[in-house]
Amino acid sequence: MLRFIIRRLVTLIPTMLLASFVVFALLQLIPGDPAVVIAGEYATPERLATIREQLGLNESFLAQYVHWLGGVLQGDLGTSLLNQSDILEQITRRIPATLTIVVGALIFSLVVGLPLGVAAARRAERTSDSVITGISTLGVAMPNFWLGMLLVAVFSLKLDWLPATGSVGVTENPWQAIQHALLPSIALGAVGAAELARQTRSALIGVLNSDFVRTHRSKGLSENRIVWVHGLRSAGIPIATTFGLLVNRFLGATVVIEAVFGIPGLGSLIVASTFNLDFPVVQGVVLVMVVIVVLVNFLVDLSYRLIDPRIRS
Amino acid sequence: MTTTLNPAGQAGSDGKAAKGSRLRRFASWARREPAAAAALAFLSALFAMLALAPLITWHLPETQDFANSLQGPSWDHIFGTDDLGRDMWARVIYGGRVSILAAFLAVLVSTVLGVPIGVLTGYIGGKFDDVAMRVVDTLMSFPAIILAIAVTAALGPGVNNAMIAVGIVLAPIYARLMRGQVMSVKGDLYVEAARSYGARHREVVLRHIIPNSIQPVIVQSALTLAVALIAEASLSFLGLGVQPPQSSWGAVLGRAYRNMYDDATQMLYPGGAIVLTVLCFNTLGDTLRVLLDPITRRSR
Repeated sequence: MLRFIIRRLVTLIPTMLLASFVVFALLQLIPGDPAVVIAGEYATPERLATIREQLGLNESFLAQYVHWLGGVLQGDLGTSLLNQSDILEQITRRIPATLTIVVGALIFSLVVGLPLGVAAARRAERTSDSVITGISTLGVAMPNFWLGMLLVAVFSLKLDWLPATGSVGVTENPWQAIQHALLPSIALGAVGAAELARQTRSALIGVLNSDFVRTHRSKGLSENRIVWVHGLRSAGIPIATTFGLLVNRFLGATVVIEAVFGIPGLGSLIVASTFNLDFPVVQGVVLVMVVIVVLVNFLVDLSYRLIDPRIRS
Repeated sequence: MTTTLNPAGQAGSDGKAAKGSRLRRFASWARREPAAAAALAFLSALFAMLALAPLITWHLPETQDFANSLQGPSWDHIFGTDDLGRDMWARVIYGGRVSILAAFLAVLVSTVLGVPIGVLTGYIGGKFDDVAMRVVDTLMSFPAIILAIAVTAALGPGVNNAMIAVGIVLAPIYARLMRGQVMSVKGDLYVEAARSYGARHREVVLRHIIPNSIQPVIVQSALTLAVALIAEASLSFLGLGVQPPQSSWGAVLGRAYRNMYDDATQMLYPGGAIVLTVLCFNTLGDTLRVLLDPITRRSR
């Protein structure tokens, strides 16, 4: 197992390098002279020179990339063009708010999506299956930020049960942190629950019709044990894959959810930086998100071997 | 799920069929696939309404009327008015034009970029394929909307730039899909035959491989339209897509969000329009997938 982990970690290196290259190359998409775009047409020559210096625009493209990558590898993502603050410091300050709702959304997807998928699979082709499938089809079609707005309208404005905006650190006040994270997590996680229910249903239906389940049944194992222990384990790979994809999806969708709920996380940072044409910050946020996704995919890969012993050999 | 032959495919087999029987076949298809038929009907009605927008609205989407701001539904303003007194019905209808066209633009961009890459990597194979797929996989590990925002940041805000960005971000899906298709078609007998009589690569690809592997792209496009529609809504909601005073479903939702404390019902119209349209695109895509999938079709 350890050798496998090390081997897989090594294969992550070219992926990460390629991702960093894509992130860096984004700057090349700016039409015209980036310094002029960022500083505006009427900028003084000194300001233009400073920006060129800061972005390393005086060097060749490859030299710029190597220079930037060297910094990144030492944990230096550069400084913001807007207020000269350290980008990595800004990101680490904002990451907890984002991760709180992403983790909340993952928990919501699991807690709601998995049982729904199992219930639908056990009653395949019956009315309750159609109802669950219908709900999850609707869930997949609903834009998460619209759901967020509906939740705020009902639970914050109408019933006044939960706060509409803001975010509280888990370490500051756990109870308030949960209250603040609840609606955003549901808004973000609803699509995930729907997706997970669909995947679980189709994976489990196949398993429940297989020979080994028939054997278990004939041995007199309880139906619950068959479904939850043996069935889910066999259907585990597509479920784990979906779970990995959800992390990617949630990290992206958090941008709009943070806007709806006024959460100061990575999403609101990248949007504000986009309006301010603060490209180094945009690059920094994209890079950090890709690193998180790649690492999660790595963990999902490892989980395959835990779920299915056949992969281990 | 029951699977049926595509009515168009049947019409191909007995092409001289009378018009009446074609209509009957369509009716029987609609009875077997009620969800898909409903989706098709809704989308047809929607597209007709969007095309005829000037005839079915009696206010202009950008006309402000402060004396009548934040009004509830009435005969004159059937969806009410927003905080600037603009007619919500007109804004949703005209906004729908922008949103739907934007979604088609994104799908066009991603097909034009993704399909040729997929065809080339699938046909050439080898080292070239390894490298290209590595790049495609890496691009797919970026959260789509984040990458789209980063591309929009570079190109500048605006609905066209935003949808080009979305198209670029979704292109890898088409590249992967097409590559798989081409690889499976490449070894088929008719391709070998074409090669053996001396057809050039260009001819083999354009006349034999692409026509025989393009079907899943059509299915994917229905599903991608749904993704692109939500992407437009998200980016315009954030202010990176459609710029005021122009309206789109996302932009109208953004405005409704700001007015939420005064009138929480405003978000229902653009949001409902998005959900229904996405639902229909997804339903059509799923139905087409089952129809065109050779495995499910054979087991019928």
